[in-house]
Amino acid sequence: MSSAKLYTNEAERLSLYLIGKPCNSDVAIGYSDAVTKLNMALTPAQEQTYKRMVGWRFYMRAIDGGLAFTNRESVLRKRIFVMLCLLESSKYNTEYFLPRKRSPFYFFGIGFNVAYAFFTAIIGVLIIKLNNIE
Amino acid sequence: MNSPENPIEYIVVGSGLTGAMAAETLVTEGANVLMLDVAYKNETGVEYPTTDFLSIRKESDNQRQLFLGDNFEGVPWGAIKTGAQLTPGRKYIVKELDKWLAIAGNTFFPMESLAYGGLGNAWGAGCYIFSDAEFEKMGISKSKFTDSYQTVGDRIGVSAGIDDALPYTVGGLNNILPAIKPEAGMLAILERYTRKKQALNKKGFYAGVPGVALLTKDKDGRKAFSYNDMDFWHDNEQSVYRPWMTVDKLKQKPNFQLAERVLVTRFEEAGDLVKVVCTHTETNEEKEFWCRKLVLCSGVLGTARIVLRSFKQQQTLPLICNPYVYVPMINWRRLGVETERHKSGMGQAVLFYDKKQDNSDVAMAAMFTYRSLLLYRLIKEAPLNFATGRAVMQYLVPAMVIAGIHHPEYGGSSKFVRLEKDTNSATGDRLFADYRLSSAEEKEVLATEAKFFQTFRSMGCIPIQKVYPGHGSSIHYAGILPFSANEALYTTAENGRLHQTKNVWVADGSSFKYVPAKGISFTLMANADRVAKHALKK
Ligand SMILES: Cc1cc2nc3c(=O)[nH]c(=O)nc-3n(C[C@H](O)[C@H](O)[C@H](O)COP(=O)(O)OP(=O)(O)OC[C@H]3O[C@@H](n4cnc5c(N)ncnc54)[C@H](O)[C@@H]3O)c2cc1C
Repeated sequence: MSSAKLYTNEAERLSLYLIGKPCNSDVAIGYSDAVTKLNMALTPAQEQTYKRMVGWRFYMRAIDGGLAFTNRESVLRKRIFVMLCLLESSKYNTEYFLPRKRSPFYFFGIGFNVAYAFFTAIIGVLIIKLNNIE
Repeated sequence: MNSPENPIEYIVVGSGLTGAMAAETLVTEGANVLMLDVAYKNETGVEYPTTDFLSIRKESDNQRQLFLGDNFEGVPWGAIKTGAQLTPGRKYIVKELDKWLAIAGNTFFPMESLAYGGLGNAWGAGCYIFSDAEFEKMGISKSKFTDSYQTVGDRIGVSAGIDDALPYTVGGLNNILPAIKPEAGMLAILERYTRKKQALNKKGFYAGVPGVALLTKDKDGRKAFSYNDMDFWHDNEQSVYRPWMTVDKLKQKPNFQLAERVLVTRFEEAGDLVKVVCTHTETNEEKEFWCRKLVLCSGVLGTARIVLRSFKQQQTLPLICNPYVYVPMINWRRLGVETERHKSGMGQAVLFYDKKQDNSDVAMAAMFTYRSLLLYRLIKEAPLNFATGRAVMQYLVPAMVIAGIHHPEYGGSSKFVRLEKDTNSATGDRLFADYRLSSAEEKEVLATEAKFFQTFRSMGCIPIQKVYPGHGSSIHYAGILPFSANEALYTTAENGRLHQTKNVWVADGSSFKYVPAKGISFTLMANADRVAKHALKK
């Protein structure tokens, strides 16, 4: 696969993970541009982990959450974060970022989300420790 | 041509808040002024639409360029540092600092600038008049500042709430403009304060709408604040005062010139003249300028470098900077609420803690709501995976209030700067800074923060955590050349003249021996006007 196609594929998957829908082509191009400009090259070991993350959403959630505790500045997380910034700065995604009116029950949904995030983060930390993921 | 035979009357070093004010005073009195500054400008070429934040977010096609920058310079990464809020269009403020203003040490993380307009390009515009007691501790009497406060207030335009905070903000100033309108969430917090006012006042807490150098009515070609919530991104309307506005105006006058890309390294007095030695930052060539009087407005740390290089005898100089902490909080009544279209990115409320009830040692919290810096900065800090972080922050942000707590600060032997040789630096030296609070001071800071937390809670805000960006992050610096009645080296006379010189004047914050927690810059500007007036005397 060419690197442009690879990055487009990555961007699509990251977008699904972050906001639950695929990104538009501008964002995907931005992602590929950012990987180069922000020097986010991965080591072969990180490359392997990243491939698995991109291919399996639960694994992504676990490693992303785990790294939030073990190595916040990991380049793996940086790639996801840059994608998040790109998604936020697109007019097509405002509903996922701008404050919205929510019912009082939404609080419980968020509470559940956070609990699940901690659960997956614990699994993530275990995987990170066992596999020496940086 | 400037030469020893043909010197200019005044050289002002620096185009920041103090340089702009000193120069305006000198130029208005008819003096010939040359301003020297590196004067970097925003060269991104990005033009921000004049509409409000929400419209831009929903309609603009080039938000990537607007908010992240062409080279993604707006994407933050790593631990929060001083000046984390600088947006791509304002990054020029900190351009080439490592090269020209090298600093060493691992306990002090200041923000300096070599920009046209200095740090004033990013300041939050909070204005405060210090009390008699505070001035006494600073080493000078308040009466020397009264006229200058008014002069500066009239030049820049100050709006403020006429409320309980006024005695701590700009009480006593004439021509105050109507206060900015806080948004609904902040109004609710202030209403809770009003309901609990008696009890809170008894404990020493006073809240209100801050004094800000922000126009709520049109003035001199500048527009009244439009509540577009784009204050962090551009100055299209010029409602918030920035020093470049003054310098741009001065450039139209025949008795004012600005020389750019000029870094002043040191000065020498030769008879009645001052030789100012500089480096051109593009060619690296050394250059000299001659003047009758030199007025230093290079920011406290910048002034420290110039003065230390100019005197043969080296010593450590005292440094003062307010301890500072950010506290993100949740105003839970605002959860799940859509935010208003029109809002301000500037401080919307202030809370003062006047422990002794005498306006002498007051701590202060400036309170902001959050939106236009985008969600990703908050998501980055959450201990969550980014997908969950996004959902959580989108929900929390209308309820989010950020308080920046400033503590009053005295000098001490563990807070100092000195000049060191550094062959790697473009100037051949670097400033070494060390800043440590004594354990008694640390205890006091923590006790004060605990009191603030109690009060935040009673005003409906739940503090989540404390974020310490490190000493230096308050960006209020002072103390290196304290006022002294004696002609001692590395001190200044009450009128601003640098002791052991005849014609060198210090018009920034270098002379203050104490820094109240209230923002220092309005007082710095008043001091610049005051010192310039003294420098005008024959
Ligand atoms: C984000 C932010 C928010 C702030 N909010 C507030 C607030 O709400 N209220 C408040 O009171 N204060 C605030 N401040 C602090 C305020 O900005 C500073 O106190 C003030 O700008 C200092 O002005 P100054 O003129 O002394 O120095 P500076 O702004 O540092 O200006 C110094 C000037 O001198 C020039 N210079 C320096 N060295 C040399 C040299 N060797 N040769 C030639 N030129 C030189 C620089 O280019 C610069 O133009 C804030 C600061 C920041 C960054």
